[in-house]
Amino acid sequence: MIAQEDFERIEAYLENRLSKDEKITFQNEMKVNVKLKDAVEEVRNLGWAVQKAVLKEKLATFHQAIENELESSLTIRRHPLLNFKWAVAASVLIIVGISIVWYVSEKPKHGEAIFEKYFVPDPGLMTAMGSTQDYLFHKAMLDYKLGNYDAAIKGWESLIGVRSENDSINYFLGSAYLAKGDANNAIPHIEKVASDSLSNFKSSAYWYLGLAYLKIGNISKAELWINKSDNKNVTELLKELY
Amino acid sequence: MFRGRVSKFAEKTGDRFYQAFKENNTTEMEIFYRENFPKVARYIRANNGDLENAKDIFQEAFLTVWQNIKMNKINAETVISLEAYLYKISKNKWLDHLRSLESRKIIYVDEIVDTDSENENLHQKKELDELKYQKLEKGFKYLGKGCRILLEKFYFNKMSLREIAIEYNWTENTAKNNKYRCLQQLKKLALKNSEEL
Repeated sequence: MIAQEDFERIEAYLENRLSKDEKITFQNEMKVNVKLKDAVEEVRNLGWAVQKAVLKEKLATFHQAIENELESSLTIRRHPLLNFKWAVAASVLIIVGISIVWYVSEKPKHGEAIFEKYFVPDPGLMTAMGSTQDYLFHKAMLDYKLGNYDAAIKGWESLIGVRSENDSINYFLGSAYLAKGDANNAIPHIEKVASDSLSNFKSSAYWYLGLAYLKIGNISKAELWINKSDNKNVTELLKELY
Repeated sequence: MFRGRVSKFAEKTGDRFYQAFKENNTTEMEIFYRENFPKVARYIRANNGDLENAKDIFQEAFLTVWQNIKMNKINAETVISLEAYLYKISKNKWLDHLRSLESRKIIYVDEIVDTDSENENLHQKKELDELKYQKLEKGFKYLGKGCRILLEKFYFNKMSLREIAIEYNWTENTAKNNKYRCLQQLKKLALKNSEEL
């Protein structure tokens, strides 16, 4: 414990309340006295910790105050002219429209809409550089993360010849194709990973494979793969499918 | 010299919130929070996260902005606006979080991290300091209400001992002694916290 007298002196130093001479003496003392140096650090930390703890409490209060408003502000804002009557009329029209589309069995379009809603590209891996092949792999990963899917595909396609069974390459090559909307080319690569029982990407592959099949309108296959996935949106998506 | 830099920053960006952070002005900070949270939440929700994730990440980023302003780490050259700065930090924190989840998937890594002992010691000391600091922060929650309010007035609201003494009808010396006693209690709580872990 720091004695109160020392504590007050340290706090005065930290708050710049010492005279010029006192400050110089204090600083010289600190150079030779490790205990004093540690005590200064301790007093500084005490002040910081109190401030941060108080601010954390304030942030929790700020958040609580806006929590109820959040859901509505994060969804699409209504146009001011769109009053309730119009909203009901528009909803009815939309429902009728969707039903007609559904019943004339244009299922690919339905699947595609669900795909658009749920598809978020895999965030990719950390780009650590290693051997030449790893370098090419990670260079393509960088392109992928930047949204340059064509460049990423080119990079991984050049590696797939050498490592056709590598699940990382297959998974991300498929992901890149899917991210640019080319489900047909994505499917064979992701399917390889989904059927590889040892792959770490297997679970994510189920989800993306399901989404890829949704995109091309093959609902039964989509359902099969999505059901296997442990993605948090599975139930919600399946509900929308029927 | 530093004051000049602050006003240049505030003038350049027209950022009234910079001063609010500097002075712990909670009314202004709340406005800043309300104005900026939805944007970050939209980004996180669009990138595999939910509102709870958004809240955690945003609050962490908010504390970082506050800390960097307090420690004078932000200047006019590096930051264009506080809003953009907060958004960037939130985004980076979220991407780090996603990467930390995804990194479990990495299969081949042919690089072995070379640990040199000096760096290792420094790193350990830093971790230990951080731990002590966290214990103090945690201890504050368990401090009696009277002490919490007193310490908040002095450290967060930046009231002088004289102002506190007037408010409580104490002498300045009593205010000083009470503050010291409260800090000793906080340290004891932090220590207790460490022993329990």
